[in-house]
Amino acid sequence: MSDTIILALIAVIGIVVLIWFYNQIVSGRNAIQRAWSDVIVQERQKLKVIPELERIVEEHKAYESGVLEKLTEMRAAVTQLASDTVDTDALKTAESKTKSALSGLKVAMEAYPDLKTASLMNNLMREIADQQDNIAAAIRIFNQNVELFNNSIETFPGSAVNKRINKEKRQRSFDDNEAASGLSFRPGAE
Amino acid sequence: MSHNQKLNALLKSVRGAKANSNTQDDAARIVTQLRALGGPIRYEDSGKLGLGLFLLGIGAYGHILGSERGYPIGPDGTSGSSVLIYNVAIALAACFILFWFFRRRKAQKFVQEVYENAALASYGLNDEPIPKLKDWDRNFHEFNRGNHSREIMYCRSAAGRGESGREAYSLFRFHWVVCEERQVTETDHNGHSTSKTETTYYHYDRYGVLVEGNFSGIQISSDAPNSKYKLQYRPASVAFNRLYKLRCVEEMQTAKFLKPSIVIALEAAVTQLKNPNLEFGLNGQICLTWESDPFNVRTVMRSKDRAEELAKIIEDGAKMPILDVALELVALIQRHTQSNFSALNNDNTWESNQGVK
Repeated sequence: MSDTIILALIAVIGIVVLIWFYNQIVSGRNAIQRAWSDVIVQERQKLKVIPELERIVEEHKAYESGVLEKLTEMRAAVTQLASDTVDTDALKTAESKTKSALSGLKVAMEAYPDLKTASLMNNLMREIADQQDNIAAAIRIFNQNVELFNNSIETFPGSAVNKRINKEKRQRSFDDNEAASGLSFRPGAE
Repeated sequence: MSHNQKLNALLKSVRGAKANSNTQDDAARIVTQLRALGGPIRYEDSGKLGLGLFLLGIGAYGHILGSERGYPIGPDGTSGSSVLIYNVAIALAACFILFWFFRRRKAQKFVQEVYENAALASYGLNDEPIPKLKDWDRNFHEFNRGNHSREIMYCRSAAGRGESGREAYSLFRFHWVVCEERQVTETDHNGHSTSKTETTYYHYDRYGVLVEGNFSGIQISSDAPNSKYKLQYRPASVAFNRLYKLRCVEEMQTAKFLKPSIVIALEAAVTQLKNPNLEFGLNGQICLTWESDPFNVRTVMRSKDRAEELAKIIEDGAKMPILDVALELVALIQRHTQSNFSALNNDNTWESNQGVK
């Protein structure tokens, strides 16, 4: 009788552990999806700034520098990002287009002194810098979540649960170090 | 002049000057005095300590031998005189050891005072009248702790520094006491049991800064009493959700505030500030608190008796690493919660049209 109870207890504990690991893997997968959506939300914040940048570049006749084309490319790359599918390659493209547009803007600001002194332009540049900070942070959060998820499906007993029930695949993190390390807050840094 | 005399003169001079003022000039004078000491900030009392330990050994050894084999008989024909000699040895030992101990503490306290005063001068912190806890309670949950007593030990304010982008802030120390009572039953050798109530008081401290903010009704805590805000909010970061609990009045406002940069900064702050809590009070102020004392000289000095190290620390502006991390975090929060377009008086319709921040 007592053996039956012990066996039943072990079975119940086993089932609870199984459910717990199953749920961990599911919530880990969802956390990645949410973190990715956050990255896209931050990327799309740029779309609010781009029209104003284009207007100001045109006003100051800085379009000769090719910066308008770069801004258009940046807008196209950001628009192509989808929040429901994790596509790190598309993100990499959007980030490189942003860098290219930003360097174009900096060159234009040097070449056109009126542009450099326009307070709206300076504020827009500051806004973009803040947005880039937030994108870098969102990417870092995404990568943290990916790491935790990968650990949960690759370490025992999560690996066994995943192999039999969840059948999730290892996720790829975003490996653009330059973008992910662009944070201004580092504790203890001088 | 011996080292101890020099140290005594230094203590007297620094403490005398402290009563008058607390400026950068004082700091420079102390640096010179510390360097002139030419030795550690420690009394040379090792001889007295050695003598104390020797006498303690004799007294203890005599008593142990006496209790096992009987005390030696003195000239009066009893063992009373030898017991007295051992007791006198122990009493003298206690005097020497206590003397060494108190002088050691005095020197350490001096180092702490010197650093604290230099830090106060360096950060431009001035004592403020201690605010009433009731006022703070109205806006923050942070101070809802303890069941015996609660007190703000000090409140020091610093003006904003335009050149470094640092805004005005108040630094405070909050102390509270938790009282626990428990019934203890004791049984004597006759088998009679009596029960009595034992009361234990646990003392706790938290340190924090108060600054102006742009949000209200958000509490992010790694160590806090229960929040009164009903709504829970969890950002996308799994790591953040493991470290903090977040409660708020409005989810939409919290989502706006909790930008990825702020999430990452709060995650990183845990490694530098012990058990940090961040709260936007109902009055819009930011209250950031943590457990470790920012004025503790141990945060910058490995050993408390190195005069040259202390002089260098004061010379370099008596930095408080814990406070710096807290202020840096607050500055980042303020930067990310303030509009980049608020300064544009002529074009402030742009911000509302575009919806940026």
